[in-house]
Amino acid sequence: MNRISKIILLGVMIIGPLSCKKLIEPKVYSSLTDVNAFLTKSDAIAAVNATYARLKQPSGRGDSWMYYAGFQQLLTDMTTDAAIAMGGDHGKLADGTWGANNVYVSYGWQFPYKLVSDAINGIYYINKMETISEDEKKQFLGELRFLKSLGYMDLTDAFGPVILQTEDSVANNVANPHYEAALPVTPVDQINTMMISDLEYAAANLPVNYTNSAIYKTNDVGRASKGAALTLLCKLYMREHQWDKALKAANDVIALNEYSLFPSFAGLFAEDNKWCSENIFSVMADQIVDGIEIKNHMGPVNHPTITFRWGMFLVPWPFYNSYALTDDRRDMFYAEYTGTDGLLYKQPPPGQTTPPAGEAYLFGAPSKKFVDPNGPNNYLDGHVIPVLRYADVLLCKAEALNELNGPSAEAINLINQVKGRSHAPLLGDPSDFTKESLRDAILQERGWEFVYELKRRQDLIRMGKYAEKTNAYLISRGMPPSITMPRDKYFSYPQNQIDLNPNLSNEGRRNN
Amino acid sequence: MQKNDYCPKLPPRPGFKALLIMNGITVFFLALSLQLSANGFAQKRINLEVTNMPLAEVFRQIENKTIFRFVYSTDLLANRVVSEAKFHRATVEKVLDRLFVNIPLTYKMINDSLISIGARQASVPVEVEQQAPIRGKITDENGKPLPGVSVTVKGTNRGTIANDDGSFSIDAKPGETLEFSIVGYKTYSIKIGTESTIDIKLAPETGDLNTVVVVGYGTQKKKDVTGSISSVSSDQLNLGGVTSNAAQAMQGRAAGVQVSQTNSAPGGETSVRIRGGNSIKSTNEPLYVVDGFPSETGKDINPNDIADIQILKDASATAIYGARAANGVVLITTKRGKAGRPNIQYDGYYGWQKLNKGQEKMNGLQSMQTANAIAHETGLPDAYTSAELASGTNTDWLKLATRVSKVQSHNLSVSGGNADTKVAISANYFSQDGILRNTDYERYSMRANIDKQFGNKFKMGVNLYGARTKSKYQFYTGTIAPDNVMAAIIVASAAMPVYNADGSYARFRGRDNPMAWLMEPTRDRWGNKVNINAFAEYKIINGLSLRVTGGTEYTDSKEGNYLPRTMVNGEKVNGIGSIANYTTTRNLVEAYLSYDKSFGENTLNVVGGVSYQKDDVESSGATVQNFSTDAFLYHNLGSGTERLSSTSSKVDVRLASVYGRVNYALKDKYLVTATLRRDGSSRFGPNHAYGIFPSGSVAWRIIQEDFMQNQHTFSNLKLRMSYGITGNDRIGDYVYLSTFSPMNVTLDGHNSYPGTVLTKLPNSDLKWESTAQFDLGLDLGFLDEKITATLDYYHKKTSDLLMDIPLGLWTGFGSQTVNAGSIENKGIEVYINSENVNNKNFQWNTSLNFAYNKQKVLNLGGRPYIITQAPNPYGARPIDFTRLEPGKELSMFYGYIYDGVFKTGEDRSAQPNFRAGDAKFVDINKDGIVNANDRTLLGHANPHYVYGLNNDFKLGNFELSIFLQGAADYSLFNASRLMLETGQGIEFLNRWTTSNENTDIPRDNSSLYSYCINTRYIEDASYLRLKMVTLGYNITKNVLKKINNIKVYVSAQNLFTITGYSGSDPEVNTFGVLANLSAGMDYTAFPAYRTYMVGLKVNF
Repeated sequence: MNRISKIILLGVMIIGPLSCKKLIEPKVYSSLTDVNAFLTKSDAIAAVNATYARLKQPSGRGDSWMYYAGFQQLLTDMTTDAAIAMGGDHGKLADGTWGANNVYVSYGWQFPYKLVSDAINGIYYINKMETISEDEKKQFLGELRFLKSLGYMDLTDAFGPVILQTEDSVANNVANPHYEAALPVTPVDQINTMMISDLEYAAANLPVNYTNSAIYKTNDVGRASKGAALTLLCKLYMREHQWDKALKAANDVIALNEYSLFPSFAGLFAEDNKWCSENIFSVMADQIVDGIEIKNHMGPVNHPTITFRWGMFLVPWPFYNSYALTDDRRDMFYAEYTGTDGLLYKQPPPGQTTPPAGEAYLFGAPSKKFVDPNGPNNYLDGHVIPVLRYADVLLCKAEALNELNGPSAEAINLINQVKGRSHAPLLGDPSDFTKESLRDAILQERGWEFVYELKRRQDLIRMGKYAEKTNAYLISRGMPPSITMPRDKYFSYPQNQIDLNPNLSNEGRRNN
Repeated sequence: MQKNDYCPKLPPRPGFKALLIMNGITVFFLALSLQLSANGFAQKRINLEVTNMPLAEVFRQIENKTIFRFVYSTDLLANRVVSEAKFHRATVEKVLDRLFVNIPLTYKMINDSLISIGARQASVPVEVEQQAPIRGKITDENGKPLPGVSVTVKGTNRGTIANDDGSFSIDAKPGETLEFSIVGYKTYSIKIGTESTIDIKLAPETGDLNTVVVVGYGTQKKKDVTGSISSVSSDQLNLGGVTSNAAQAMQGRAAGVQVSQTNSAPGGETSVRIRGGNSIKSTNEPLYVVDGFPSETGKDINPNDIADIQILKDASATAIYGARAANGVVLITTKRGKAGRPNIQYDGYYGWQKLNKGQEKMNGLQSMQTANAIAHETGLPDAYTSAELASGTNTDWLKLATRVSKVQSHNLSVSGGNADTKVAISANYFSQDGILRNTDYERYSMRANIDKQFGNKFKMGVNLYGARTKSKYQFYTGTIAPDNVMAAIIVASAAMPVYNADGSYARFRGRDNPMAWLMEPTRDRWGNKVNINAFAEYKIINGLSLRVTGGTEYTDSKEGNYLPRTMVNGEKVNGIGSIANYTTTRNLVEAYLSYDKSFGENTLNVVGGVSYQKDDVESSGATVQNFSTDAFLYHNLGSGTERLSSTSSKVDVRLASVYGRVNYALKDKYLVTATLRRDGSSRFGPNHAYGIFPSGSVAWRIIQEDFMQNQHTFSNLKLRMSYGITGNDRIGDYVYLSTFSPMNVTLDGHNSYPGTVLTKLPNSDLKWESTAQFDLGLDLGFLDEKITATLDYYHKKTSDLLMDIPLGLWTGFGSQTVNAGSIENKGIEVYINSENVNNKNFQWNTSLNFAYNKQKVLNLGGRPYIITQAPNPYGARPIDFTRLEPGKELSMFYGYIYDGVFKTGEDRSAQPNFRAGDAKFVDINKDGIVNANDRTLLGHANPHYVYGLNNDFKLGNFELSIFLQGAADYSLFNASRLMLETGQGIEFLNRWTTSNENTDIPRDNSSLYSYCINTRYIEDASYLRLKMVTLGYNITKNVLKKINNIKVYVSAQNLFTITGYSGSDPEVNTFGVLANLSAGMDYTAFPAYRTYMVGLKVNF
């Protein structure tokens, strides 16, 4: 063999292996791939856990006030008579002047879909797992199907018909990626059918609580339970005015004997009260390991002890003034305080707009609900956000009873349980009420009870009072009464989504 | 004065011997050197057979058979042909002796592998008695002896070659002219007077066609290069002062290479763009290759170590680097040892830096009065009491925050060796204190380059570099966060006090003041870099050699931060400390074969090889709060009780490549180069794991044509043309993979639970960005290369641009990274070098480079436009800043046309929520309302023209260098001015009020909020800057024994800038080098400064 052939051989020996694909296949150290993300039970649990994280954590944004940790309240409360903010896109929601470009409307689309997306990914992959037991699979799928329903509940509340993404969509994209497809929208009743099926599965397979879970070793109060699934099912039937089914679901929850009202309203919302007998499903938080920014947005400005908060999301003074003086819930506001700048922050007296020397006027009342005066003063806070709680179930049952049979002692007793806890004046005899007036009383009670708890808009729409109540409030602020039904039953689809998918149309919705 | 007429007497005597006789000293040294080198020289015996062969070709054949290289001036060999010669097992010495019997040339061993060819003094009768021997010593630009220089008496055949120590002796009489020439240096002539000794210093040749330039995987003679390459040699680099890296060192020196200091903080970031930017999402920075080792941090090496920089610009030159070449390639060659006497050099300087330009702000009283006036306008009580007004508080924040700071560098290098072993070792210390207090940068570095020859066939070498940097840093990110000190300084009122009575930093309305933010937090950064690489080269057969290289580069950087409880935010949490650590380890192994062959009038060079590279990129960090003391800073994170975060990550990147290049030359006139590289990268999706990057080029050396032989205008004329495709592989790691990442959550309200979530949608089609480039170039030389010029036209089209295409959010994802879109860059580059004057006492050299680039986006993957946002200086949600759309270039400002302020009673129906005194904008679409639809493109941030102009003067022992550099046809958004003018600037006193209607500065409010990107603050930033001026004096007389040369110099950087831009520095780019789409923001920049320094350079 001569030199040249030796050289060629050497060349082939070197070049040969370099053409091998293995050489350039990277080892993935710090993330998982679909090859190793779903191998063990622990992996399945991680996929379930992360889906809960979506209820509040940032998804591509640097803020810690995503979804239930703050901005979802802008859609559900700020657009009603029970919340106020000034300036920017949140001010537009408070003023009734939002449109398809409002960033919070687009968040209201983005973040529930993120929750749905993680849930259906988890469902798809966990369904295929063979290393976990049937019981484990049912537990995990039950939780994920509950979370998926929660996402669709919010999506359909806000937008009505939306694009349906399910575990089958994941399967299709894994087989044949087509992420950019412009999909059609699905009518609300079809989505409801899916949600009912998911929630019934969850109710059938999830435990009542996690004090003795065979699958989880710890008491994971933040997980979806049987009661959570039944309560969400009840809320869905309520929305659809299926009062008998709603009543049954409410009774099922009560029959679990798991829940009762917490004795103190202030104690219920203490930052260190992470879980109590009244909680059915809450978004958990911890100021150090998993903090949120709701306190930053709602906390009073220049307050001497709750320092460095922004006072952005407040409650209108007329709403605050509507609480009875004896009502404990009236004390859940920073209605008057001397600020770090020495000024007295307070409600402006009627007709007064310019404060005298030494005073500053608050344009609304800062709530203490998610701004515990006794909580730690970190930048991030650890307030738990109640999504479903027992007072809601009691009031839903009262409402369903009233809708089915008119005023009754049973219904009034349910309402008075909630009132009594806060020392509010109780309702009297059923004969004092018509079905309509009791409905109004329930609406009023729900308003007082659930300030900034993601219920107000849903309640107003369900009871047919959205335009009436909100327009009256807007007029009281000197604003045009801009709420029009049925146009404002749903928000506009976000403009950037319409640009990507012509199947979304804002015809009949706000289109500015 | 002429004593006698020249009169031939003696008959000619045959060649070599005559020379020996006439130059006794030369004989001695020649004999000595022959003896010294007897091993290598005598050992190798060759067979050689030539018939009617040009002498140059004979040399080439000897070169192919031995380790010897010949150096000669082409003119010497012109038309020399060896009619017939035959050698069998002859030594090179014998061959040369034989060949030169009939050719009036002589040779000289410079070292064991280099043979210098010179004219032979002989065959002409010499009038001995009238010629005193002229003796002297020849040195290079550093005062180091230069052996092997050919010394001839002009118009005669008398000549000699300088000895090892640079000394020479030649017989010449007064009035005759001596000419000194050697390859690589400018030929130097001097007319003899009555002196008997002449010391000569030769200047390096820059435009010499025989200069060897480093290209990818090999070297080439400049005349044979067919691609577009800009060369910057060490003496052309901007050294000294604040130059701390290679990019700064080459700023303004090469045509088509735009270097800008985006941030002039010590150790601050420089941005390099070769022929415009190709990419939207990826980086536009070039690939750096240091001594053959591709290094992401290549530009950070000690600039004193650099021997030369080759900037590969067109596809022909870059394609050998394939998927990494699209942004151009910067090849840095460091200094290596040479055989001969050891050369020891100290080069150091010490300098001072001074703030260029202050901020014109209201004084304390004006600021308080203005605040009160505004309070009255809005019906509020006084902001300041009369006691405060009388307090005389008047704080000049910028003055407090800055200082006259010092910069220094000390560089000691030793090089030398013998024929077999050559070593160059250098050590450097550089330190710069920022003019902004509490900022600095310090670097210790050391390099050792060692070459060893084993016999004739095998040589090895190793390059070692180690550096440690340390700096105190601040943020200059353009945000309004209070820890962005420059932002705090801009908006701070002079009415705010700095200190409390007890000396602690005063707080103002519960917030820390800017000086507290500057001085109190600890922000340290270190970097370590070690590069060890070695090569072995084996000559397999004549003309064929194998080179194997391999090495490791390890870089790490560590940041340590601590916010003490003296700060409001530190007090809240009892101190917060963090550490972040980033390391990169690159392992590289390469092997290539190189084959040279000449046959007849054909010359062929073939290179082919393989390469495998693997990077491990790791990071880790932790953040902790609640300490019992501030004493630990970040040095004991364990003592903090609340762990906020702990992170780590590791990324694996691999690149496997095969490459080859063929150079072919016919008659030294027609040159062809073809290059091919195939790169496989771990970053590419499985459907495109490997990419192929070809290029081809041709060149025509017109000067070699017969019809050019009788003209005297051109000394060089070469036409070049190339086309090729290169890639940009910096598309991110694992982007094509669907990945699942941690997303932890608490499920009990106290503890964190591990979670995993899908974080990226897969894209199996993902691949490199691809740039196709055409280049047409012309190399020109006039007046015997006294003027040289290079002209290039290029056209680049980059396609498969990496883009994030928006997805419907119902997918759970807002976007997916795909290859889409394309962009083009067209431009012209001119480089001219002119030796205006070159005589013994006065030398003047001018070089000019100039480049024009025009960029156009062709397609954005179907998207109509891309808007980038900038932090809103007023603190609310980000504002739209630039808009990219097809047909336009990157970084075009997008906003409103400012139209003054509304006068009282003026019609405001187009801006209904505005009041008198608010800013007025043009209703561009004339729909009667000013809204987001009235925004338009307001200018571009990337200069269309960049240029550099250097003049070097030498008068006797004095040297003066004046370097101007600039850019033209671009704008900046002067956000600092916006903030001053609507806040604490002196202009704000002229704001609109009911009693000051006649102004164009709006009333106090945020009427510019969300309208602030407008024409009022977009300013033309074209500039011409006296970047550096240096005056040096050479002490050539031996002050001390053993010292060859001392140079003392004074230098100034950024002495003046001619610009219409009102900000402090037109080079600023707040968003840094990665701001492809959002360049042109000037806000919170490190303040610009001038540098003055004194330096000393000593050669031992």
